[in-house]
Amino acid sequence: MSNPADHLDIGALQDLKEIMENEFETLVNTFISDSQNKVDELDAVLQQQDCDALRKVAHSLKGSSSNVCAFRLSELARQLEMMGKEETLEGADQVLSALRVEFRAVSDILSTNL
Amino acid sequence: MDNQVKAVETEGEAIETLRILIADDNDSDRLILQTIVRKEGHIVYTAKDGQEAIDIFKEQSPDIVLLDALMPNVDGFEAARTIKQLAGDNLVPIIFLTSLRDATSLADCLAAGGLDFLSKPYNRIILQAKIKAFASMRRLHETVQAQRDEISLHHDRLVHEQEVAKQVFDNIAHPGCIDAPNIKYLLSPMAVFNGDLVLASRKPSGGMFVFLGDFTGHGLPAAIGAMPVSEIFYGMAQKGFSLQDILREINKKLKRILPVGVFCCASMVDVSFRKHSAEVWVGGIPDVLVYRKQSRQLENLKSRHLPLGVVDSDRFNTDTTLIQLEKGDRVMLWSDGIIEACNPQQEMFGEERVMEVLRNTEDADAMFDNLVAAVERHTGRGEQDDDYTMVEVTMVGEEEMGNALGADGKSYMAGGPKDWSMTYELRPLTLKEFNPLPLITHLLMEVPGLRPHSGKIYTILSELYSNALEHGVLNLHSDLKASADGFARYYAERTQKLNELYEGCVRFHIDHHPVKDGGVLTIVVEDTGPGFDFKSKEENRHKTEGYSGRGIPLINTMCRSVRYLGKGNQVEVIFDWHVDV
Amino acid sequence: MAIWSTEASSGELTIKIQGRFDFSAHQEFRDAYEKVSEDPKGYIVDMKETTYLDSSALGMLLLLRDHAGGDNSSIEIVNCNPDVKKILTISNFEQLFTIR
Repeated sequence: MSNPADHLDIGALQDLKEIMENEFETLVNTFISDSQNKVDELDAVLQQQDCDALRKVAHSLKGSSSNVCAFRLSELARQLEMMGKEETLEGADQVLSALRVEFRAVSDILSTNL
Repeated sequence: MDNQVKAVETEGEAIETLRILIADDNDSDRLILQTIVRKEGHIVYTAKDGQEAIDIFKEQSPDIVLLDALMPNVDGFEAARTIKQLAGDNLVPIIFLTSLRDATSLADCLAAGGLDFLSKPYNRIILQAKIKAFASMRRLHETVQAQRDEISLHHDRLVHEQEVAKQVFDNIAHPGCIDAPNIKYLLSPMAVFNGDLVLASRKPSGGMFVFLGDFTGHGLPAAIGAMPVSEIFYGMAQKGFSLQDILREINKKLKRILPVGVFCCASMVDVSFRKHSAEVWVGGIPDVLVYRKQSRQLENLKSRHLPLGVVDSDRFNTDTTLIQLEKGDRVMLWSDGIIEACNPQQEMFGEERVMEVLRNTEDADAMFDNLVAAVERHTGRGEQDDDYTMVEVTMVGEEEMGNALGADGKSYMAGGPKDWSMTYELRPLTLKEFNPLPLITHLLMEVPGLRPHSGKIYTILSELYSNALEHGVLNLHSDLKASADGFARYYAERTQKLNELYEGCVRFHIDHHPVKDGGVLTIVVEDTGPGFDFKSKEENRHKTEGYSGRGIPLINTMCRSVRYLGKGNQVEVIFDWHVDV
Repeated sequence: MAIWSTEASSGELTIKIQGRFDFSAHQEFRDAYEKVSEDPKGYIVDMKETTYLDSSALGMLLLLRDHAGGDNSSIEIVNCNPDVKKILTISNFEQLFTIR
């Protein structure tokens, strides 16, 4: 496994954990299943070349991943959101692949951090 | 130290538990936000989309709404608009949850009614600060709203009270016969609350009084003085009192009841249609104007007196100006409101403009209306907003005034007893301690039209009565009064004899019958004394003794005839009177 | 609108009124003669800079007169401009005050 600090803001995550207390596990589970759906959705909308949907889903993922301190994932989602917004899907596939990898890494770190 | 501050803060925060609605379609974001907010001690409602947020808002009416901008179904913008509408007058702070950064999106949030933004990732400290700020904003708004409601309640109550008060004022301080054909006037419906007052009354004799008053101040304090003024005016005018009597009484009353610094500027006119004249009194109010129809000249009658209610009776001056008026001549009274009426540039209408309008109007009948129109043009307001008061009285022939109809529809000769006689016998016990003159005078003053003669009648009655009592019943000799020493003895003897009185009486026979525009009053006073040889006295009536000792010469100047009857123990006075118009 | 009062060594209190003299001045005007250390021998109301006077100002002058002893008071109103003078004249206040 790569260094967690490359994917997540560890300090902020620690704060979040303290705030959430018992709810932290629920949060992680919710985030992972929710985001999984979004990643799948991104796949679908990209195939349909639906720029508006791409923008919305990516926007949502950008927000939620930032909230769990996954700055890199959030950044990748932001890139997709921009592509959707500017309707230039060139290179979107590559970003999505990177995003999928990043999501897997974040999920693993979060799950083991419980 | 730090700990203390913290403790206080925590305490302060703990006091207020807010109910906060969180709407976010993203489960994990919602979970984080709700956990943070709940930890701050607030009650949280959650919604997954805009529609749910609206439904919960309707049900729970939360204090603060945290709203994600992009949500499925109904988005945050629309939800915000609906919630604002539902909240109505209440301030429900809406904070948009958004990671949108572009200006257009943020502007959309504001346009939809959002007051602030919270961006992801959520920061606990920032969230805390925002909730706190909006909670206090909400409290402030509630306070302002409560105060506004209170003010509006007070205002409603005040308006209601004024309406009730106005009804009472209108009943008491009604403008009397102001609708007479020779009067034009301008008086705002709420004038009494501007301190303005117009009263007009026909006199029993057929003439007319017009009074224009302007109290200092505004509102109820200004209106209060109108009540006694009006009561005195109408009460005394109808009883036939003179302008001087009425003004003196009003001044006395106002001086007594009003606080220092509150007074009534006024002008009053006594119009005689028969003599074609008017008496004018002006105190503290702009010049009364007299317009001569023939020469088209304007004359100013300046204020010569202090306003009513400023000085005591002994300093109060009732001197008037007497003017002759031809038919069609006009007397104009006004408050300073017309002079001080301002245009939007705060420039007063001024006396110069008044005179100018009047001078430039060819047709005297149009003067009043032209003046009103000129003031309205100047102020740019309609008549409804006027707070100036003006009256124009035109001299007309008596016949044009109709049957001298007053506000009560009575002719000056109608109402009250006018054809009657009575006998009033006063026996020792009464003679000892009762003065019958006020009672008899009062009775006589009920004769319509007779009041202006009350002074003479009182003099006649009192001379006759003291003669009958002192020279008749008590048999005192007026010779005694010739010296200062005798004068004292006379009154000592009078007191003594009166105390010892056990027989004898004084009798009044009074008879009144009406004639056209007046009446004949016959007074016979008879006593049980020995009488006197009046026949020999009549021969030298110019001498100082005899009659003169009995005040008879004075009476003689006042009436048609004075006659002694019987053995000199009866005296008859015949008094002819006419309405003095 | 502003009001000052100054006590002269001769024992007279001078009250100066600047601007419009109307109801809004009533507290300040009262303070000007009520908050003096000892009773002045006389009063001078200086209207040099008074631009306007309304009927409540007349009322305030009457209150001053009452405070100063009513008929026994000694109050001079000085330096009136023609507009102010006219209002005082209409009200015949020269019967109550010395107007110079």
